[in-house]
Amino acid sequence: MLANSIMLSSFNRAAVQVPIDADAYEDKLNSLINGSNFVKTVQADVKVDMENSFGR
Amino acid sequence: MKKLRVGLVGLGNIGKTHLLYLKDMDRVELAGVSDIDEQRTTFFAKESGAEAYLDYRDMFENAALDAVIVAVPHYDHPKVAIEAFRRGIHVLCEKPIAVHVNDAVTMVDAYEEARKIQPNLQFGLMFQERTLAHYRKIKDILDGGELGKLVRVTWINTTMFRSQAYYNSGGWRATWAGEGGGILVNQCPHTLDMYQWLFGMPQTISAHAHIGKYHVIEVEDEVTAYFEHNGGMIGHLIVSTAESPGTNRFEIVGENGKLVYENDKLLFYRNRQSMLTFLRETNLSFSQVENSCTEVAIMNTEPTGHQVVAEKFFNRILEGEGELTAYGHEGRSFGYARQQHHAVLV
Repeated sequence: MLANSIMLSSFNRAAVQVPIDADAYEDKLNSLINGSNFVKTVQADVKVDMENSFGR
Repeated sequence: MKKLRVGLVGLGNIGKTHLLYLKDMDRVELAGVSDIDEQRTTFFAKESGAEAYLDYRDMFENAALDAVIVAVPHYDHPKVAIEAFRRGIHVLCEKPIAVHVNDAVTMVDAYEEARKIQPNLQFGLMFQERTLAHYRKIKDILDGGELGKLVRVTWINTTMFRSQAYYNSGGWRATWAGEGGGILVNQCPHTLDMYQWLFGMPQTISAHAHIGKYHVIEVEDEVTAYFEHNGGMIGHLIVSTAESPGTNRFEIVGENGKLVYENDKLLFYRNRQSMLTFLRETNLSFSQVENSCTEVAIMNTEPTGHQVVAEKFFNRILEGEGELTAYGHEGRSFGYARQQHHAVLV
């Protein structure tokens, strides 16, 4: 809920009241998915140093 | 001794982290592993001595599992968990519970439905940062009420630096379709969970999320959020995957003093009297409240991390007692309308 609310506020460029309208966020997400023309680069030689992943 | 038959769905980076501790647990038998990648599934099945399944439903049907750890990409959490609940299999799910609120609600509803038949069915979430000693200490101090009325919380957490190579390491990573967001759904669920665990949900949120500001991605990599809570407390949350060195600084200000956590140190400033009382009653213009500062000792003797969350989950299934680190349905306790109850964790 926090994550969705933060993104909705940012997309709307306005303050949002919690709880947000869950359907409105799902719609927004779907429009981002459907409207995406981002071309993803996938790199094969990436080293995974997972022990560095868990911050404090 | 009865061993729990456990399955693992998802053998990516985080799935491998689970394999590491599972093999050291003597009351757990890893019965099956499942991933859509055949090579990976075969490899880890051989390495761990578990059965390999390309389809998790196949594993749920045939591996006689007691419990499953769900470590697939976020969007698939609900469908995997729901299939498990339907078969009465306990679920420990990676964070975040789901990408969006509606999915989280569906998931918790499926859990509640399954619990009507099997009341002891467990649904845990992998919020392992709740086990960290300094956060537990902060929670303890807040619950004790020593700070009085809370005024402001500011949390800067920019320790999750990620390179472009990281984002390029998987096709689903950092896309709307694959992951449903950036830092907030991948790197930050712990920070968001910790915030609401300590302070509850805000009433009003105003936020700025920058999309692909430093990385070539279509989702957010830098976020500043401003929160207003019932009772007047305000909060700031600043997170980024593009700061190195990163900062983790947590300030919690109340009328009776403040807590500051940074660089593994927790400082507790105590006011000699309530700032709010002083503010109203003093006849001095510029004076401040006297305070003293102590460093709070943090005992690091208790184990922390993924393994602890999993152990508590397995114990509760095996012994029927003990608390989980985080419950899938715990959003209920935050006093929101039904739909949002379950969704605090998203």
